[in-house]
Amino acid sequence: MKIEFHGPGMCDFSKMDKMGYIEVPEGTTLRQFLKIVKLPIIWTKVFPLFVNYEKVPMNTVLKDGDIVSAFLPTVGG
Amino acid sequence: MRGYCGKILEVDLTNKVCREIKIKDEIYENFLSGAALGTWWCYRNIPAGADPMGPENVLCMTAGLLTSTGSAITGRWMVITKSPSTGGIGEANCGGTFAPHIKGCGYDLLAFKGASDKPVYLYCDNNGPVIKDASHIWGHDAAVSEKMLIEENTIPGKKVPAACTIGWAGENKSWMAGVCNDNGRIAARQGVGGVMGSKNLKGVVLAGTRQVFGYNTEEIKRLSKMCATRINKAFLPPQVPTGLLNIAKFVPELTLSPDGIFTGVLMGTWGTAGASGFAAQTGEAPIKNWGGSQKEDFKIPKINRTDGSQLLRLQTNRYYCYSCVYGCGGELDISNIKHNDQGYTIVHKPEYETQWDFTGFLLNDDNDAMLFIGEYCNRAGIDTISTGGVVGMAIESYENGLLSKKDVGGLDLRWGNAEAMIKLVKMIVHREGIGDVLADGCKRAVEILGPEFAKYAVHGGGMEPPMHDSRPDPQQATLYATDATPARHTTGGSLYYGCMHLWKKVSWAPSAVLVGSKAGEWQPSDEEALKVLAASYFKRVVDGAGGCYFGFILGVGNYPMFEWLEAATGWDKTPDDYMYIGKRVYTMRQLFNVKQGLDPWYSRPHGRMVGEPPLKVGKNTGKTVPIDEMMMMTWKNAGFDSETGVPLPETVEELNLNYFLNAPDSEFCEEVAVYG
Repeated sequence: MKIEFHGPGMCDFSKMDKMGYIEVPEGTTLRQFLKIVKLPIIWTKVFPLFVNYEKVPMNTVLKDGDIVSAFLPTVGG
Repeated sequence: MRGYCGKILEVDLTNKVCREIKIKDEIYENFLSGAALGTWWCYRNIPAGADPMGPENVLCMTAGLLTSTGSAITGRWMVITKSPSTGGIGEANCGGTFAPHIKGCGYDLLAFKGASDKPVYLYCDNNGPVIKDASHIWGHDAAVSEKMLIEENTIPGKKVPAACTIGWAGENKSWMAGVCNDNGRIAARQGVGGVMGSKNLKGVVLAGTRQVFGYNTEEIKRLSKMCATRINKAFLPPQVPTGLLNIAKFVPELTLSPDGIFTGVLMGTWGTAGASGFAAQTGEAPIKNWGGSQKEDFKIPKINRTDGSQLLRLQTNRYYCYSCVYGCGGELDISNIKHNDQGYTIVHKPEYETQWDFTGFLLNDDNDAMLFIGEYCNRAGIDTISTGGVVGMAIESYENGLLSKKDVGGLDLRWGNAEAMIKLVKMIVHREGIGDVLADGCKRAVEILGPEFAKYAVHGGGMEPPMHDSRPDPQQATLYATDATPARHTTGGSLYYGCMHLWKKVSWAPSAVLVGSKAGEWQPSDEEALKVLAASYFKRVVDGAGGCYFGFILGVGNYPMFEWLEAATGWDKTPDDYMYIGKRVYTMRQLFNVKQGLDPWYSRPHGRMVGEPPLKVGKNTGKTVPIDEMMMMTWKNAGFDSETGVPLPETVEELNLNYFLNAPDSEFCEEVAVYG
């Protein structure tokens, strides 16, 4: 299944396709997904992490097409 | 209703006559409203070669199509005119609470032509417009003027009116002056306030109470609720120290697609200035008039003293513009800061542009001086970006012996001298001494002072650039160079394009999720040009709707601009259709500039903005943007002549612009009332 992922620059994006999706096995939990993309767990303790714009437990099983969004600061003004 | 009023008000200041004009639906269907409607009106009504400061220029104030329909973050109002600083289309926009009052009077646009022989202001309510004497207001700063105008037009028991005004800079016809509302917010860029001053128009007071509705109000509300809910969840706990965000300082080196919903985390908590510290450390913020580096010229202790997050200790209140659910605005109590010879108390929190322009950009680590200058400029009604730019030019010219102490009124105009900086800003506002030369921007100053000053006069087509360095971001550089309103940061750039997620809705918009160095990623190509154009066309849509820049970087999934427009109009258009409207407006803006005699190469940025020569120290070491190739590639993909930048006849024909721009008024306009 394909998960849309948005995350900070230190993550591993090598498995991401050009449209921003990462292919993972069915049944992958949020915790397992974060290991796949190598997002440091401390990042999720301090900054917001969403699945489909909701805060969910780490053992949540992801579904095809879910959007996982990890905080990435942007400058504007 | 379909979101718009369908009428404009033309105010003839020379003859003191107002005409109410009905506009046909096909104009809205092909241009939207807001800035696009203003540009359409300016194109048709400003003769070729018109003096921007003469009575033949037209000044438009307009609200967007979505404003007042119930959509979120769509409360911007816009000023459109022929710019004195660039000679092309001039455009500035602002938040606050003024926008809905334009439509409250039953108009999408107020167009001022001619010039009054004495100071006047326009008053308008449900009974129509009246041109009133403003002699007693003239000479007051913008905030005091606004207060006076509101007080004298408030009727007990009725809705309090809203007002916009010019300050001292506009009265002095500065090419850097803007138009102010809400006690010092400012539609700042391109000298629109100077044009207003040239017409002897001190202000506009709006007291109408008419309502506007969209085609499907319930759907508009549903979309707004979705947007608000997502933003509200994405805030950072205030106990998280700002310094922690510095761990992200390497992120702007990457091009990837963030979820724009997190832009609110920074800006809602700290305002736009909160990010200045890591902007400096990443090479995003230009330093020392674009000639220095953070590593050599503005080291960490100075950054820590001036970081925008420091402003929170003075903050008394957060606030939201009309229809905003984001809330990047704030008020500060600056009663006790140094330099406060004007007795300022509660003021707007400076934006990032002001904050960085008057600290790191000029090597000043006195935050109090920046706070004072920010408020002084707001009340004077002058653009802090351009003012910072000309101050930088003056300092560097002084440091290198082109200007003597006598030339600058006895000031010791060295980098970081806060007192001298403050005095020079006052001289610019009041056109005293060297300030008279600098009050019209860098380009004009070089024309007066001599070509030897050009190397320190950093501008693009007459506009001083904002505090976003284009050397590490070729996409930003190309936008600075190719937009009809050049050197503006509010259209896009690599990171912002990554936030917009346009490729999810627009069939031809390239994806931008790949990771890599921004400068390294960019090779001039059709795909990169299309990213520039996608951002540009979308910006034209957002400005037609009255949307906010901080809305569109939320991304089209979180900020459902296309869906809102559909719900408001019921036109049954697709996102591609709306982007095609954006293309039409983009092309019309370029045609305006060509009509006014500008060679599109005029906006090629100053060498420093594109790394000519490249820096030798700091984050942007060795970076040079192949700007000529990029400009030509962008023009080619826009359907313009790639060599000249002029829209091709077949593009103009395809967009039906010959008809919309040159057909007689009777095709589109019907006079329905005359006042005065």
